[in-house]
Amino acid sequence: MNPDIKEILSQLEQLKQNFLDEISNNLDARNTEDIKVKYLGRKGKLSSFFSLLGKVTPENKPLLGQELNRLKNFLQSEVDNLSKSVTKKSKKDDFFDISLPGVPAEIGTKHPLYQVLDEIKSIFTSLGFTTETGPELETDFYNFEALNIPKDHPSRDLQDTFYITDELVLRTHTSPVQIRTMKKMKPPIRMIAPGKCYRKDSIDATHFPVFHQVEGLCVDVGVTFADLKGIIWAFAKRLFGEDVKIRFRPSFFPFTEPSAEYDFSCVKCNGKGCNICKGTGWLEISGAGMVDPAVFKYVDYDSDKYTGYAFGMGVERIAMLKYQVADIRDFYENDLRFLKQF
Amino acid sequence: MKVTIDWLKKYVDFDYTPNELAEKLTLLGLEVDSISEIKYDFENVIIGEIKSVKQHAQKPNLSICEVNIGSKSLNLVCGAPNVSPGIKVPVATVGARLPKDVVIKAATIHGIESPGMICSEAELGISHQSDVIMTLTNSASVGADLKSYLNKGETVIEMDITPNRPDCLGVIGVAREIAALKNAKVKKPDVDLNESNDLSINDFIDVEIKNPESCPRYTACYIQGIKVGPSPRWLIQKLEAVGLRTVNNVVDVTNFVMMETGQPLHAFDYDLLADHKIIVKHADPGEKFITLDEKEHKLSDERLMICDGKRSIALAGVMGGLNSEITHDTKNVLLESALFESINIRKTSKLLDITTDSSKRFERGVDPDGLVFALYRAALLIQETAGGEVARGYFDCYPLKIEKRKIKLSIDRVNRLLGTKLNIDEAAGLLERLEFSTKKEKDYLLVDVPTFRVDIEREVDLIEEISRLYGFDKIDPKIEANIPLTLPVNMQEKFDQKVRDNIIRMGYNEILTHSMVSLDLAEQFSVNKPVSIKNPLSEEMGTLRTSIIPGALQIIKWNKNRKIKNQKVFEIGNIFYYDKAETHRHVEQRKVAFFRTGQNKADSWCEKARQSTFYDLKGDVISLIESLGISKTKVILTEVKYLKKNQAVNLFINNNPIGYLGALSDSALKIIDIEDDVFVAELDIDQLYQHFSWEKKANPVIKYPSIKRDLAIVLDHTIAEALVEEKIWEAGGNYLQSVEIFDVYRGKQVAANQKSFAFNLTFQSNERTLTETEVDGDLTKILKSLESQFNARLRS
Ligand SMILES: [Zn+2]
Repeated sequence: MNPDIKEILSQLEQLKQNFLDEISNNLDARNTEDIKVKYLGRKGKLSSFFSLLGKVTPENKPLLGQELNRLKNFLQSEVDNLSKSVTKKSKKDDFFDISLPGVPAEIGTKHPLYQVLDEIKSIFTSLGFTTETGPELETDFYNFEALNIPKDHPSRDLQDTFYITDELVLRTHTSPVQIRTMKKMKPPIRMIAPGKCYRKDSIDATHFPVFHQVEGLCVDVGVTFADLKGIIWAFAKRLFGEDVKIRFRPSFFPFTEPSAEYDFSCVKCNGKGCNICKGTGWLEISGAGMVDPAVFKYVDYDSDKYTGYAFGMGVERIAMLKYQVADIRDFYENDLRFLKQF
Repeated sequence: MKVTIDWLKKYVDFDYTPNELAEKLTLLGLEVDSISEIKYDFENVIIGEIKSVKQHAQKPNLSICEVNIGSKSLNLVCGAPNVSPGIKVPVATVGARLPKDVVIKAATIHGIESPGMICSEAELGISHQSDVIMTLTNSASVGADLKSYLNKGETVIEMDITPNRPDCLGVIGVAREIAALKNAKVKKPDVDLNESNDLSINDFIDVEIKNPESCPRYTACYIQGIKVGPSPRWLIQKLEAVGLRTVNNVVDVTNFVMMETGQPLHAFDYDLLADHKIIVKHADPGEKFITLDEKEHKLSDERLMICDGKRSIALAGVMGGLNSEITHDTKNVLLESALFESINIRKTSKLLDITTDSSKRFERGVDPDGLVFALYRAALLIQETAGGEVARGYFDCYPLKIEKRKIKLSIDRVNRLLGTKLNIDEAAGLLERLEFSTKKEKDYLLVDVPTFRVDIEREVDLIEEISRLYGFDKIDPKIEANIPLTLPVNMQEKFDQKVRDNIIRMGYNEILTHSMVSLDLAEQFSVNKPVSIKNPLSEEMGTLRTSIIPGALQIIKWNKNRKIKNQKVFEIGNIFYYDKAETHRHVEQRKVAFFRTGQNKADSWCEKARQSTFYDLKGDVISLIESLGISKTKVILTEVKYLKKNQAVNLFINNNPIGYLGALSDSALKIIDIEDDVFVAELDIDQLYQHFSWEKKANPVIKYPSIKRDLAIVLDHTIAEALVEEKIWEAGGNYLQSVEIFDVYRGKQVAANQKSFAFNLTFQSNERTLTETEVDGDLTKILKSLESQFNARLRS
């Protein structure tokens, strides 16, 4: 039986690879001659292949011959080059060890949460949103009252609050920045409010008393729930790619009506169900809705004329999904070995 | 809120799988948290019938029961009070397994051999009922496995009900949602009560409401001659499935009806009510009251009480009193079904720190028209489970009549808010399915709100209802064509980013700490009065940071403990303190803080690094500021309590203070327990921004050649370099372009109290090529000036 030409050609390729590996490790002049003998010598690796020329089928013979000559020429020229360069290096005081590691440059890192926050900001900037900021120590009025969360109302239970005094709190969301912005200017408004927020949660793998939120607000004539879905849809695709799907389901927030929770299809399993999405195929992202007329009343907007939508999102939640971080505490531990990965 | 699928099916027909149901409920806004199945955790427990009961000779509280288990009869010792001949009971024979992997062995109890045991529900893990053995109905077949007798495991669905939907805190309310989805009607349970001919409610009770603003309506009925005892199996099973404990048949019925209708009920022992009167009124100020849980509360006059003719008997809507609770001796019962005002109940619950199933419902709002239905339903079930005669009629005290809400709904509004194209009939249809009644008038609807929907007050609330049932998924996302691109950009925020990016370029790693520290740390690292949290998570997180330093130092320590010696980290964030002048006013400032510790860089094979110094950090800070295009910085020696005495400076730009930098003092390092030197700087970002300009103007590069000269001088060692440099600039003439110190020397080659500075000076003109002679002249002037100012001399 004739030897398989394909098999032979692949062996030749392997031989070439071995040769290249060997010469790239060769830093010593003494080895050059050894390599030449090993590959090109009379009993070298290549010569055994020439004996196969007589054994392959006649139609394959020219092909093999051509390949063998090509390889032989290649090996010959590489060996020549090698001996030239090694001869140069071998003049002792001229030896330069290019294999030593370079001196590393020191490059700083941005905290992973801020990397995600920057990405979110840049997406919304490109969608025509401005960035607004406000204080972390907020009055009860801005954090609750003006957002239609009256004192002694069960909706206050939705957020466990750190109090400084009865009237001063650590903001539980960045929604007060909406109020501050609406009090400052008239529609059209398209803004996001990123920042640190605080809730009195006990610490575990998914809860930390400090977290970062991005709250969005758009107010103008003719803004609808369909626009809200559009903006979240666009955001989801920019952040997690073309395939991500969105889902809205009814919920309750005192400052929006209708209110919704929105979910993204699971980025890990594409909606088939896995441990990250607890088998549902959906990842809960955050809340959204149409601005409640009661909120407009607090900022003197005419709710017959203007409508608006608002949405929120947790930066930690998105960062955990994006970087596959299982424990929120990793972000606040600030282990440099963790931070330098990003 | 937990419901079981079987319970729901009593009021509405559906054949969804548990997962389908969970998804449907979630998409209606009743978010399902979990679906679980109740499983029985025992093996080989069989049904037996007690044939005879004998008292134990030595222990009178034990009985010896002869139990037929089909294949044979066993003599079993039992301590429960409710064994009697003829009843059917679960028997765990030798080898049977009970929960927690208890395996039954033959035992000898006070001399009597007992090859197995008769079980209570608690022993079987079915309920918490432990003081009596479980009794089975007559239809149970002797010898069969207990599991075949019990219903198959029920499926429990746990939902997260939002605060606006108290109507769904009852199983019927949840069933209503499913009915709306299926366009069906809920089947209300039976309230067809056998009322007494002889007894009339008015002969037994009189109700008076003294504070109708806190209790708009109070209804009650009376049941005579009941027998308090354990609840029947079906009742226990339902309650335990949704997480309630069984107490006795009367209390269990009130809890069952609350779970069913959402209306909390309370049962009083009628014979303990003085004067057979109910008075609803606010507490006497300072009044003391003991609730069912045997806790004493001191009350203010805001708390609403249920009283009899003499004393308080319940904390209205929250918890009953110990003095009127249902006991095994109770014969006659007064059932209360009332409406209490939400805010009052919420305040009571918060203030006294009691949250009950009842308070949770009242503070969210109950259906004012649902009171009597719940009352009748409970009376019926008490009669069924505890016997007794129900007095005719019910007492209804309703001083503040609550009117049905009517809302005008414009279809244009609906579409304008949702972005839909619904017509008026479609909107009406959706509302009708949710039990709203509608009347069409031109282009709007007049909508009657059912009383159980206490959350629906405005037109927009109706629009939400429409969107909810219509389905958010049917509203197509719209991408706006016209995005306004001229809205003002927040430049300050942009500056933050620039600062952050530039620091990262210098090789710093950004850290992010939570802003809460202990009061002690907040005081140690600031001269300002810290802002403390009234209700902190812990003492270590009890105060807002007055500086970024202590929080960041803890991070540095964390990393040092993990063998990371060389660290360059920074953080940008807010600090908080009380204003010195107006002490009640707080200040929130945005800071950037830098930290360096360990070597100035990592050791490499070709170069050994040195330890970082004050100058490394100073260089970083000045480099950052210069990278922002800001010049005219100046440092002045200062004293900061946590910095080393001679290595602490304030930093000024154009003579305005920006921040400080220095080396942490030994005592400060001790507080955090760090051994190595740490260099810190903290700058005020907003102050920095004041000196920053977004405008940039290019200066042409000078095309004429420059001339460089070295100048080495010897002078007194206490003279500051910055002063010398300032004088060089003053005397250097128009062509001096730069002054750079490249050597500082003290040692043998100069006198003991002297040092030498060596500068590299660059001269250049932007108009012509300078001559060597010109430059030599300028250099001489500089030297002369230094000689006269500092007594300096040229180093030879
Ligand atoms: Zn998944």
